[in-house]
Amino acid sequence: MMNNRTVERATLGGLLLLTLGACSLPAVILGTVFVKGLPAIDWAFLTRESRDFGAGGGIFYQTLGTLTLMIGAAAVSLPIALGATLFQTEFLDSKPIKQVLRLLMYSLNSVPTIIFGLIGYMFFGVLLQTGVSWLTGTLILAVMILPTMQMSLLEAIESLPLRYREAGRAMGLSAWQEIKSIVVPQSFFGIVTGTLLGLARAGGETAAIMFTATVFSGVRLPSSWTDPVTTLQTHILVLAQEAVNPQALTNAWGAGLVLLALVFVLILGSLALRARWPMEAER
Amino acid sequence: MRQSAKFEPVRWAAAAMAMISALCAGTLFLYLAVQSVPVFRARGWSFVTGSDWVAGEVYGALPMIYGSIMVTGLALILALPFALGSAVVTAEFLSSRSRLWVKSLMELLAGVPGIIYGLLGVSILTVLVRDSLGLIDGNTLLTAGILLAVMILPTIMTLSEDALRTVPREYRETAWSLGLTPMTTVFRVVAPRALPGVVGAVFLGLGRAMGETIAVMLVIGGLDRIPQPWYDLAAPAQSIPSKLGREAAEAMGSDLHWSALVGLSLILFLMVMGLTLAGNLFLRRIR
Amino acid sequence: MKEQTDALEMRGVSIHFDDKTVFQDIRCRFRPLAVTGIIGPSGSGKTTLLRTFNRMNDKIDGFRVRGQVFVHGREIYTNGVDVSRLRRKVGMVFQKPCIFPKSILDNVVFGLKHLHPERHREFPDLAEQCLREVFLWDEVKDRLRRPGHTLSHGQQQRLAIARALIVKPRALLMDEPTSALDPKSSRAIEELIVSLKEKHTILLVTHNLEQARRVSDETVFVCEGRVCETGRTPDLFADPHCRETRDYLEQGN
Repeated sequence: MMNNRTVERATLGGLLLLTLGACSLPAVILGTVFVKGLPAIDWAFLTRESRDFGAGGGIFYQTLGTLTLMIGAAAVSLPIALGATLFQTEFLDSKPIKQVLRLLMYSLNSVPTIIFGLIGYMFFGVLLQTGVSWLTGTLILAVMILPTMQMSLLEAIESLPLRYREAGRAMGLSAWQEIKSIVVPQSFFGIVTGTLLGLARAGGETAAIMFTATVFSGVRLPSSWTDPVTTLQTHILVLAQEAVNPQALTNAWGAGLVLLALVFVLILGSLALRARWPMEAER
Repeated sequence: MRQSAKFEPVRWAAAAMAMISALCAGTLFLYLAVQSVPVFRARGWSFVTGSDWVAGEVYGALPMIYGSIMVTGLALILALPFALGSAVVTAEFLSSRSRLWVKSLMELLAGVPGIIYGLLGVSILTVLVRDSLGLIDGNTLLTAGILLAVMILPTIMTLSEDALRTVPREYRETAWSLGLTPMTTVFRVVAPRALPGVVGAVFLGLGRAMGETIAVMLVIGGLDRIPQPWYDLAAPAQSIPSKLGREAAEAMGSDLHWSALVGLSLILFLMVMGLTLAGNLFLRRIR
Repeated sequence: MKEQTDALEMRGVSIHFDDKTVFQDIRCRFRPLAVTGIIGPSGSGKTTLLRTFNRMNDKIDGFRVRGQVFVHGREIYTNGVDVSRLRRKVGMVFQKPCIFPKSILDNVVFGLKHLHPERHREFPDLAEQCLREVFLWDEVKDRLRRPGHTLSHGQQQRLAIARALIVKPRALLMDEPTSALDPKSSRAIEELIVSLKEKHTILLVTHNLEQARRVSDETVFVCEGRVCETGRTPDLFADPHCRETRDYLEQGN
């Protein structure tokens, strides 16, 4: 088929172009958002509340809202993810059950997020009566990022070398002691990585929270469990659809820059951690 | 494994967590099924085959199903060359350091929030599409397809690259030692063996494309009709997630309207789950 | 036909992987149309040395080679060398044969199929020729369409050798070809190697000293990044000059 050296070189060249195209996308996206959003950013923008339905003022409460939902979701999700993962790695023997759990995890991971929003609202908002609130949003996001965190934790704990556990058992440690003093500390960086990825995923989510946790204006900080918040994502959403006011659009880009920067920092953080502390077994 | 006492509290706490995690998936499906019963009872099969949607009166899902399929298919066609090309180059021709860089870039790309894509779409892409095709409005299937292509590129690329790397080194070495060129080796020896994994990657990418809401919602045009002719990509249309996103807030009070949306969700859920399960099967993550 | 220049030769060659120096200033010549055994302690780089002759090390991150490596009178680490062509002229047999998930026939003609697809009518005859050369024809002639992995390990290794032979190499690099086989299959391969040296120059890396003694005409002892000693096999084994060689041979006994 390809004995011709020119054909070989041409094909490789073509594939390289495709690769370059794909690899340049993150930079192109970041660059575009940066260039469009920087004009909007100044200290006032970051620290004041919005006015004129976003055409003026800043994004202070939106940023707080996003952070609240992100951190809340991670805080709720982490213990559950950790417990579920530890159960699979420390206490479960049966292969079929492990397969089923894994299947459920992957399935949950691919559920369209808008469905999380709909069902989450029905379950938390209506059934448990938390309404349209930051609490509802947090809980929905927590369920949504559960697989993300579980997968990361699973990878971290499963790559723990056997000799660590054997040392523990030789000393006669109980399950709890083994978890407390060997498994968790040794997979610490994996846990942190998982958390960062979970936070990033929660921060990137709009569909699940747009009608379950947020309102567009008139909100500062929630003063109770059942108050809604305003977020960067939904702020951008509304502003983006306002064709008329160029200032509103610039502010949308500014908010987008803040959001993108936030998410990228989290992902870069997780990448840096994985680079400096590779999974034990890989060394 | 350990032979510990049955009543260790840690064991039961962890088991409870695992249960919660597992139940989330199961409950979701149940809710979808139960809550969509009203609309199916009211409209029967015409819910799926009907083409009209007027809130409060009639509910037909066909235009949305059509839009979802079209936009997803288009995304795949646009993304595939880039995803597979990069996967081949990264798996076969790059040093391990370069490979790490590429994978990191892909992870960053995968993490870009949907709303950012939406913003880029609304502000830049729609204008581009409108101007280069001479349309009145740049909110079309094509626009949504392009955005989705970028969004699913990292998924397909990373998983395909993994599949290629799984092919044992001996395969390549044997082929090289016989005088096969690197390209021929890749296409004739490695790729065929990695094919199931790549197919799995494609399915998962499709599933992700089908479920994406916010970016599509902003640029697809929001018109609940199948374009005339059906292959007119430069026409506005509607996908299921986009419809859900647009009407969820409105429908919150009304029973039938809400049930209709849940019915749409059920259809979407089944389509995405089908793709995802198939994908994971091919990737051998589940047996 | 004997060559003016030796079949395979290294002059002043040093081999590095990133910062690690695996070989320093090697000079060696391998006699054409003979079997040369390459022996030495584990990790001494015998395989690296072998793979330098068909440029298989190129694919490894950080690999660098200095000096001159000659194959059939031509330098192979210069610009303009067609590596694919080199690898056909210098065939390789691995420790574990990698038989593709295809039929026996398809495995044998694999290299040829991608090289000269236009000659496909000749394939069955050429395949028979090579399978006869490796003494496998009688065993498989009735099941050429069966999958390759239905053969025993010993048969698979012979199949791999047939596969390498069909592209008409002048030299064969063998990397511990029998170490994964049982004694009976090993002996069969050894007899095959001896029969192949009539038409091919063979380099045989082995950690089995008895095998080296039985099969090779000359022996090269590699240790600590140098070629410590070379010579005719009976001479080297009976009366090694270097202390390291003596130690190694004694260990093996």
